[in-house]
Amino acid sequence: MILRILAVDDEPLALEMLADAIKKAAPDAEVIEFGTPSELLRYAENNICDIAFLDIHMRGMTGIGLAGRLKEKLPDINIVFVTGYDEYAGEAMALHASGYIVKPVTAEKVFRELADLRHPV
Amino acid sequence: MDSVGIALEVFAAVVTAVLIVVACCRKNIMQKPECYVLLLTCSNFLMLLCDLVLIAMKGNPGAELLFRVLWVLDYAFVLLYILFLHYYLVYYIAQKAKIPLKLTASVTVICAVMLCLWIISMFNGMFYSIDKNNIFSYSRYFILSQLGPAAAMVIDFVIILKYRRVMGLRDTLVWMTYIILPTCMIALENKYDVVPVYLAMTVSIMIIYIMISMDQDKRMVKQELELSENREKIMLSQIQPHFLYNALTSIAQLCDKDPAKAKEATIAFSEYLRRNMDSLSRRSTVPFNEEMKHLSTYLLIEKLRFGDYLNIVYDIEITDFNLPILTLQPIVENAVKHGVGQKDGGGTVRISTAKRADCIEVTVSDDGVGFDPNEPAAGTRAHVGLENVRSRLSSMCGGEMTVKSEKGVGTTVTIIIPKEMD
Repeated sequence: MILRILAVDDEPLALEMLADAIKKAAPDAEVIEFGTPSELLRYAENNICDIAFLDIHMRGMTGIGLAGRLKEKLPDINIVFVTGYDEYAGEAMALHASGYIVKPVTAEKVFRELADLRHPV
Repeated sequence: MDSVGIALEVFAAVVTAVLIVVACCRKNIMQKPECYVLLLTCSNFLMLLCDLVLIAMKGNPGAELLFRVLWVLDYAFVLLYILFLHYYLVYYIAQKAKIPLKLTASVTVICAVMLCLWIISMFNGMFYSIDKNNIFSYSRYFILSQLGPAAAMVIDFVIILKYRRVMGLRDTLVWMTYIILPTCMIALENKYDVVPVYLAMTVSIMIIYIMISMDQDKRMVKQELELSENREKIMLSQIQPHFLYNALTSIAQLCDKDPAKAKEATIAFSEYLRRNMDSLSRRSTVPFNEEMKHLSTYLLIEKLRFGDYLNIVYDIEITDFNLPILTLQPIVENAVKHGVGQKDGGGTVRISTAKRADCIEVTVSDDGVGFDPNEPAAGTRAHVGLENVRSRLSSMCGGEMTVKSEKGVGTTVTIIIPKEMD
């Protein structure tokens, strides 16, 4: 089965970097990119996904809020938060996130998270 | 009285005088209750002076009126010492707990009544008598004259016991010595001489000064700590670590995709950093055009991140004026980060300047998410940043800043710069 990974960031360059890093760390996975939280939520309505990399600072909805709604739809999804500045680790852990990455995102950081997921894939 | 007694009393007077000088030098850092200590010390000093003169005049006929007046003053200064000690105690406790001021009134009345009785006994001899040779002798009811001050001391003692929890163990014990030491000496007074009381009072005053000095040191350390914490917060708000990390992430990604753009962004980023670091040490106003240049460097980087989600509109009517360094950019940064940056679909930041009759108005408005002005904002990084701008505006050019915001509508920040300062 192919691993399906979602990535969301509302900054185009940051999203590109995140997606590049994921593809490098998991060459066989299917990586789907989203520029807004609502697009990602719409996708998650009809599709099963294994892992989601969520930026925390986003327009309209924070990554923390998004994670809560995503978990309602897909309770077994692994959530990895991505942030530019280390200040939300506490809130992220309270949501039973699988992991936490501080930008800039690299393939090594993603690989480390993929090797230590909370829910089996 | 023997010469040892006189020497001791002179020594006590000198020590007291030194303490008065010390207190006057440190007056600017004294709190209100501590001013009573200065008054108390002065009373002690004057009392010692009266006493020394009385000793010198004792047994020598002449200047009878002066001798009598000095006896009254001597007693009056003892009463003042007790009164100021009481006031100090009450105001000291009042800093930490509520304390009824009724007691203070009763102590004041006791002291006033005792002074009147002391003067009356000059004529009826109930406490003491003074003969033609300036010899002072105790009368039958002399002990009563000591009861008034003793009563005041007892009241203080009860207050200390009652508020011992508020004062803590250390303060309670120290305050006890202020009361007990002179009281014990009064008990010894009739047996030996009057000198031990003066010494006890002087020792008490010295303990008070040591205590005050310790408290002042503690306060100073606390203030220093608060100041450096504030400075740290302001520095962080001026450096904006959040922005730095995000900008570097954008630049890193550009390196692969568009090296020329990455170079341009790196240069802009370095200029942005230099300016923000400079502003930490520079405390002067700069031409508006310089601030605009800094703003455009900052916006170049933000545009990399936000693309079309961020629109900037300029409406610059006047550029020929000065304003404090790092005024404009932090306000725009707030508008980008907390206004437009949070809104679905992005938004517009409008920057305008306008000439008014007696001032120049700079306005930064956005149509972002806005905030509720009634919600507490203190302590947040955005708040520290804006407050820093506000304080620099007022200290560097007498300017003002107003913030208007409505949830879901947007935020408008207006800066007023007085004309004579530009």
